Amino acid sequence: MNNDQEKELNFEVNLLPVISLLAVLISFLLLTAVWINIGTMDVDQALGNETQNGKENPPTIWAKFESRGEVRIMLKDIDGVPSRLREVNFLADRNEPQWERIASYVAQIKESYPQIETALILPGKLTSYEQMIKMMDGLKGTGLKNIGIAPL
Amino acid sequence: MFKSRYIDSGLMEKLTSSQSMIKSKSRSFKKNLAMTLTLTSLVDAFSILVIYLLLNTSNNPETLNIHNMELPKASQSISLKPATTVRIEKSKVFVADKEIDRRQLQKEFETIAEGLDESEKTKPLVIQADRKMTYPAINPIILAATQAGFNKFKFAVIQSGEGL
Repeated sequence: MNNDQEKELNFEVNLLPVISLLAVLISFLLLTAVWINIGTMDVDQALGNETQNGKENPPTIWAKFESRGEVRIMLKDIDGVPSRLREVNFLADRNEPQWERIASYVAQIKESYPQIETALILPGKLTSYEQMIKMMDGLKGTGLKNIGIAPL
Repeated sequence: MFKSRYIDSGLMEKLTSSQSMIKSKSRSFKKNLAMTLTLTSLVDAFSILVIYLLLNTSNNPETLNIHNMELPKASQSISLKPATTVRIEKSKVFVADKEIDRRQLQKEFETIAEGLDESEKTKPLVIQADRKMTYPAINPIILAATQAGFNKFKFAVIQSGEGL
């Protein structure tokens, strides 16, 4: 009686099919995986109707790329801004803009003037696609929602 | 004899209940040749690997042809959505994978814009270029597309977790 009970209770889960299934699944996932995630930085481009409609320009931060990586940050259509903050130049570091300083400055401005929602990037002739994207990334990181790009 | 020297058979059965066992068919060597493979940990490792792969791989079916270019990285980007794509490679411009003469760009964009649903407020255009490409090469595309009625530009980037 005791021996019979032991035999009935002794069972093994066959793990080999489970392992085979998991191995197939892993192979499939490794082969079909997309490792590079491509995303987009969205820009709403104005078509030039706003001024004609007589609307007021929204408070805007302008980021202008000067020559050799220098960047000028300008505050437009914002009331009560001290004149020293209206235009601030950021000198380049080895022909590359000082991204951290620019981002922290824009973040401070955004904190002081939370009504600013718009930023306009004015690239120069030597501005690379990467620098343009970095600027957009930095501006979006500070909470600015509407980013535009001015044509040359 | 075996039981006393090695291990109690009941305990052995308990220990090997979750293990695969390769047994000798011969009765005399049945217990001596019993060989166990610890498969439970292997199953655990495989399961973790499957979960990791399922969670970390992109399920976005939209992809871009980025063979001849290196896209810049951005942390504030959003995932790619279907839209007309413009690829700029050195002096060549490809609209929806078809090479277009720069002088014919606006006409091509107008044709595409006419085909888009009029009820939609935004007309998006994906622009992809090498990270070192200068803005004067991208500017004519923005101008032509704006004049054709495109009002949302999506600049292709590689999504990353890092900020500036």
